[in-house]
Amino acid sequence: MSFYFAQFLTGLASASSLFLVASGLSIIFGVTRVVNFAHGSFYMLGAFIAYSLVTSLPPGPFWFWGGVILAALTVGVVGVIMEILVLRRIYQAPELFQLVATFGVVLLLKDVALWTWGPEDKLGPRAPGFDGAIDIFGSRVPEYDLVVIVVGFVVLAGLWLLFSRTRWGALVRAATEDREMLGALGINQALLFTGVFFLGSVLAGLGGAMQLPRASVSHHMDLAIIATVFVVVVVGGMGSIVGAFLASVIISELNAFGILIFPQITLVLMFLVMAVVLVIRPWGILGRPEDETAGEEYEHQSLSWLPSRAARLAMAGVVGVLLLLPFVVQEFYLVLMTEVFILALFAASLHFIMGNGGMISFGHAAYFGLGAYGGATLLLYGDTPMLLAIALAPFVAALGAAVFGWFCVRLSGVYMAMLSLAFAQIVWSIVFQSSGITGGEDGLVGVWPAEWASERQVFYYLTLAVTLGGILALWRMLFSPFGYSLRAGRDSPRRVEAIGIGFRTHKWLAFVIAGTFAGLAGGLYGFAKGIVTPTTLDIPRSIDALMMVLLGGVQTLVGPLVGAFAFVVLEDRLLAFQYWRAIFGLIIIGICIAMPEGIVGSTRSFLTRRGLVSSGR
Amino acid sequence: MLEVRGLHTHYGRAEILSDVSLAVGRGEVAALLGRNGAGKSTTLKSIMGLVRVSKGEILFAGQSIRHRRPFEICRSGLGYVPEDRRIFTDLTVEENLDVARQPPRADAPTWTLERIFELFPNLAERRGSSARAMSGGEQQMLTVARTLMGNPRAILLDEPSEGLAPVIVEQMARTLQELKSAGVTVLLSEQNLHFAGLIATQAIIIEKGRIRYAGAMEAIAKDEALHAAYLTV
Amino acid sequence: MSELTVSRLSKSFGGVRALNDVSFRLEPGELLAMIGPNGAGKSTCFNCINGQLRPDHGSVQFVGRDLVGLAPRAIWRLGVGRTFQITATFGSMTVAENVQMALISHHRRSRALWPLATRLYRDEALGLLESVSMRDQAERRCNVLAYGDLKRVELAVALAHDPRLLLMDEPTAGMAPKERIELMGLTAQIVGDKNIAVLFTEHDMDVVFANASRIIVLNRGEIVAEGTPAAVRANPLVQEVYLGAGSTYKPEARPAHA
Repeated sequence: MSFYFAQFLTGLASASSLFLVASGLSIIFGVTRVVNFAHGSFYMLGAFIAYSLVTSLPPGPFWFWGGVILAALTVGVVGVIMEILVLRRIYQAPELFQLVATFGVVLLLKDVALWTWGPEDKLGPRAPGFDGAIDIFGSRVPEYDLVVIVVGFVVLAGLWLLFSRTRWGALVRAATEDREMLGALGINQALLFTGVFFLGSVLAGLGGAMQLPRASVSHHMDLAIIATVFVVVVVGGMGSIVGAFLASVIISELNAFGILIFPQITLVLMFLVMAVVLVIRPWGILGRPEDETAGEEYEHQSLSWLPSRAARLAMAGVVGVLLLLPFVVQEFYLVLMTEVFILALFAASLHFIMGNGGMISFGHAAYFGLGAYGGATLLLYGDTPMLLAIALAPFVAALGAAVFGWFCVRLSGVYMAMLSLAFAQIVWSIVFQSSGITGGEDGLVGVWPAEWASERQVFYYLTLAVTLGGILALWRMLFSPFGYSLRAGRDSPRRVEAIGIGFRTHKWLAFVIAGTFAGLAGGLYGFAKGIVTPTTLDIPRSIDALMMVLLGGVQTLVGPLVGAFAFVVLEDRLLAFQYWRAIFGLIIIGICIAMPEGIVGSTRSFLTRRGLVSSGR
Repeated sequence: MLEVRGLHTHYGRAEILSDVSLAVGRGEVAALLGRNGAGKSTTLKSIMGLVRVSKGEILFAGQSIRHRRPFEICRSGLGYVPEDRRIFTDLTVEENLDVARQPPRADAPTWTLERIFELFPNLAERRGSSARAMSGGEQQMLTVARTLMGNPRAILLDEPSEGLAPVIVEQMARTLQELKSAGVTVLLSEQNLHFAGLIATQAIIIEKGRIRYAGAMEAIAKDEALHAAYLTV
Repeated sequence: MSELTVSRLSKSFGGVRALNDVSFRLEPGELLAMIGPNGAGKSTCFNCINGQLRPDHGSVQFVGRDLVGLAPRAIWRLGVGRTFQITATFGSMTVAENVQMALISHHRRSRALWPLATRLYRDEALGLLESVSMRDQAERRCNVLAYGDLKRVELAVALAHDPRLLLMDEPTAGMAPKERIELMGLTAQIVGDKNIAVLFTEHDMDVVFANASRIIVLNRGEIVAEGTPAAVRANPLVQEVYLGAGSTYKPEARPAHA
């Protein structure tokens, strides 16, 4: 009995630190409507800065706590800088760009941390005065855990008082509903936003700094916590402080007790909690439904006309050139182009739901990776011939997409983005931990093409044929009644239901189709690389897909293909640099701020302005 | 008090307002009339700095406010009452009023909570309750009251009678008449000619983003040709 | 037999009675207006009929079938069309394609993966657009249309599946007076031709008194008056709770001061 109570306290301590981070994200989202991906990076930064401060300041409780608080405040300042430099420019942009831009900050801060603190994990000192353990009902509980629990409750009470008892709190709540109106009533919203961002970032930094005595500081803290934090805010209800607290407690306690049975079950439990909550309360335990008409002001751009005859001829010309390519270029470029084809299909599959259906998936790599692992395991464990393995790979992905998609399509906008990311992270963790089957971090090696396809040229043609077929099939579906129904739902969910179309079912089917084609791309990818590692389904890979779509242009048909090409070329060039992530992050931020229409969209707008292309009927 | 000269506003590439000029004198009530999409709301939003103006000049109490941000414009004494209410439903009635509070101004009537509740007795009864629970008519009254808390010298009212029951519309008209007698300058956009006729002295007709007529309200009521061209009741 | 028979409909939200024992009938070809102050229960009543809400008590019989408990989609399939207070169209599609979508759904082909949607049921769609005088704008995108035209497109979309009952929520909200009269005139003509029953809510008394064949007045969730426009206009209770002294609508529509 006493053991379980101790375990409960351990869970509560984890909940407390998770709540600090989650509440910060929730507050920032509530007011600015931006889901800050870099919030996890702020958490990591808080830990690193606290490490530096605490180890360089004199020992003793005063300096220890001073260092922790100073670290949190420093992170707050970093948050303010990010808000002013990046977010202020994109508050008006579609939420997709905001999410992706903040991911650019994630990459940037990752390299900043690497440059500042080096690649090794850091082990901080114990908290002076709380470095022992106390006896509770016969079980030893670390004193510091109790400190963390107390801080969690103090922050919860403080935030509650701040928001319900002060005018500033009322302003924040008002801004959550209608920031423009608040501006017209004489409130300087820019200042309010910056203040809120400071508060939220300080909470993330505090969460990170408080971890110092509990765990080593590592470079994986950012993405590791952000997925969990997303789960917490989706389950608790976006914007609800108390909801975030409840969800933190539920999830942390499940972890604390689930781990007693066996470690992997915690992932399954997390999934089950999300599933149950979202089925009963789609907006989270204490969340409120979004206004149904909110998304309808979407600036509808193109993607509506069938490609003209000239455009079709041009595309045929490009395919002709690709067919001749093996006769003129070196093998290295064929390898590069093979990757372009595969990623183009991957990007096109995401574009199918994103551009046309308005569904933002931040976990599309899960289906790419499921396809890759599906094909590889069939080959290695089932001796399946290559072509059959590639043909079956999409079904593995489709199965995953069917299960996860069923939940994802219940949400929309950023909620869906966060949920899809959380699911992808669960798949990643399962693959990572099941090293007996998947090879864990090292992945599955020896995924080579069949002998007849082992020549680079042959595999090039095979890939070209399969991906081209896939892309054309996706395009055809865009213009079918199904694709139109999807777009109709994106334009007006109210109207589409009012003409008898079950939008949710259509979204789900579209999600499965997109997952299937991503799986096909993944299946090919394994054979192209000869190895399948967990990076095929990690968060950065999901962001890669988004990047390709954005780079090319969301509201264009060929955008994802051009985006994939640009992406592969870019990556090929950037990998030569040590701090390529930072450069890549800056490029991402730059695109979101300066070129939201992407390469194809911007070119089209340019030509339209010059009168070279008609702007449609 | 408020003067607009040669205003042009675009949404994307479409020109919504074209060379709009108008003037409202101190203590005057002017009605901007026109059908939906004619540019009434855009005119008010342009003045308030809520949409970007591409060309033109906006003077309020002799000062240019064109390049100012909405909160600065509000602090200079110009209040804005949006269409479709936009009250803060998460806040109580009193909190809704409190967030809009501004320091008193020498040349404008000062509104305290007590004075507001005198003007809107319904709101006084519900000061502690959530704004969400109020009826449409009460919400509309709250939007007006909220703007008054900024002690404005002039207010812009966007379609205050839209979607309200006739009894409430009459109540709204009485409220606006009281504001008028308190010396507040008003520019309102309106489709309900009957309602506008109850309070406005000056009428401005806008059609396809251009001003077609400006003159006395009474003249409009009689001018059949004007009705036929732009209003046609 | 009545097209729509609503009997003893009640609905509460958190202890507040939004709708209390509301009953009325609607005959084919009739335009029934539902008026009343904000919060009187008009929207609740509407949403109980179209399936967005499930009433606590009572039944909604539509040509002999009970609609209570059916999803909005299923109710649409039975032949109930609707238009929204704030227009809801597919902005990225052409006017014709908007109507074609309704037709595609009507023929249960919204999940077809191969045919080109823009070529399906085109003639039928153009015919419907002809009837609302929007044929000449068929190829324009909905997001560039004027508001009044959007309302016409909505009407064409609502008529696509040959409904027997049309629910119109403030059909003329946000329109200029002249357009209001035109749109309701058009609606009256079409529903007369096709013998469709219409239930609509409206705040513009000019529109109501000019077009409604019958009016029901709701106040605090209950029907307080029902009858012809003339009778409702003269009803003192209606004047008190809703119409007021009549200074805000057309003089000839004002209550008679007897």
